[in-house]
Amino acid sequence: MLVMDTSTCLVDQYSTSMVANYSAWPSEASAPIAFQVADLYKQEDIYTSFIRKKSFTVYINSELFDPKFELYRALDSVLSANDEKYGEAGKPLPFSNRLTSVQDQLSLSITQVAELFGVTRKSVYDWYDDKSMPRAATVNRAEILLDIIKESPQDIDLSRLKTVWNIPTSGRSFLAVLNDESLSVGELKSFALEKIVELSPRLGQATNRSIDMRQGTSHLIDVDRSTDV
Amino acid sequence: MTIRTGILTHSPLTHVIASVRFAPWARLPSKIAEIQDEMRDIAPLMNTIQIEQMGPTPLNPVKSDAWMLMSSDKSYCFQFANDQLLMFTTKYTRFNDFIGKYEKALSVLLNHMRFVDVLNMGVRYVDKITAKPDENISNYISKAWLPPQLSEHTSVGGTILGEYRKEDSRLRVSAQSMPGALPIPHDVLGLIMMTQQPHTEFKLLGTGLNELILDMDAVALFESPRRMEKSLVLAGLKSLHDLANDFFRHPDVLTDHAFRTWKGEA
Repeated sequence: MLVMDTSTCLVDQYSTSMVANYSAWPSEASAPIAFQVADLYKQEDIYTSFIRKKSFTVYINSELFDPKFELYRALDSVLSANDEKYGEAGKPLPFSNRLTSVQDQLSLSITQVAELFGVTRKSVYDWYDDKSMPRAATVNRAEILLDIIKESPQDIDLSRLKTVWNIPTSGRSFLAVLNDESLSVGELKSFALEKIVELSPRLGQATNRSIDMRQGTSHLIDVDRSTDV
Repeated sequence: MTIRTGILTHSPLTHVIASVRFAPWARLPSKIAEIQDEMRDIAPLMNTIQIEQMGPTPLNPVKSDAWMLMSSDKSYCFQFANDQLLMFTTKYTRFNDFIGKYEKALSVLLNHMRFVDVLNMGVRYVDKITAKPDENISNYISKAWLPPQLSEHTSVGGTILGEYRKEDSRLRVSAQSMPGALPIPHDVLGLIMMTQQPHTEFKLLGTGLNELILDMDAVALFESPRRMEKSLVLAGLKSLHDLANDFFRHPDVLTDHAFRTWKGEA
């Protein structure tokens, strides 16, 4: 079984294509230390399907340097497998696809989708028909919602979230957190997940919640990893 | 014909790095407190960096130290190591301002080091070029720097590399138009990591479909160390800047539309 932390996994997903560049092109203008830190990730990338390898340790101000690393994908940069389910290869998935996923997984009506995103029902219909695109903040919120759904405890029944999302717990409701544009992506996810946990006694137990596999980014390396696990 | 010189008010520039690597000076650790004191007016923050690399046996790791001095907003950072002085910035307007800060750091170092035997030096510019929603990235850069289109395949993206020579200097260019990839070169990311606190959470938005990362790295490599006066080092960096800048402003690389947009005329 391969043990990997999230940060490594996320780095692994993109850096394979850069390895060739790197080895062929050591820049004299960049710092040796920067290279060493970059190596920390690169080497794990190379050997990721087989072993976990760390060749050195970095300390900053005498503390172990242990960055959490996340690479967010812009909506328009989500690549998809060459499969009808995921759309044409290389094209971004339409927003309506994400919206359907949110609606299905939270068992929402159109009115409730509108309430969730703070828009009118007409706006939601227009998004579904690809007649208009929501604001970037809304797109991001949909992305975050899908992440929250995926990362929230599997034994919580999220189909009942709509019945309690306006109820304040610890001073704020789930919707208030979700629509707080002053929060960073990480804070939003973290706070919203906390709200779900706080609300869980009212939500009840889930039965076999499916996880949305919306990002068709499978590479052979991921297949190996899944097999290992 | 668009005039390509002058300041670009909407410049795509994200990072600029200047570096001089030299024959090691082992006394740096004992001098860093004084150096920090002299740099404190422009770089009051400091991170001490220690790397432990696996040695011949796990009990004998090889250690190396560096110090990152930073302006209060971390827009200018200076990395002092026993064989390198590197500076990078995320706020760049003019080369003269940029090199002025590097000169300050080099002067401080040379006050203690007395002289420097240079092994190599470099100036590197990283641009993130973003097309507007109704445009394509080919409106900004020559198609020669984009992956070729094939009739029966959908191009996802790619990286085009090039290398140019001018006298003793080289210019290495990478044009990366790969959706979802790092928005900055991974070695530059390592550098930025060194300006953070030990438990920082990094969040980067991957490159978008209509974006391109243009990385221009001008370097001068010497076969053996060259003892150089400060003025000569600075002149060398200026010459590397000119090499990268000539490429960036060259009519066969970026389009007129790109410059009109960055100048706020389009």
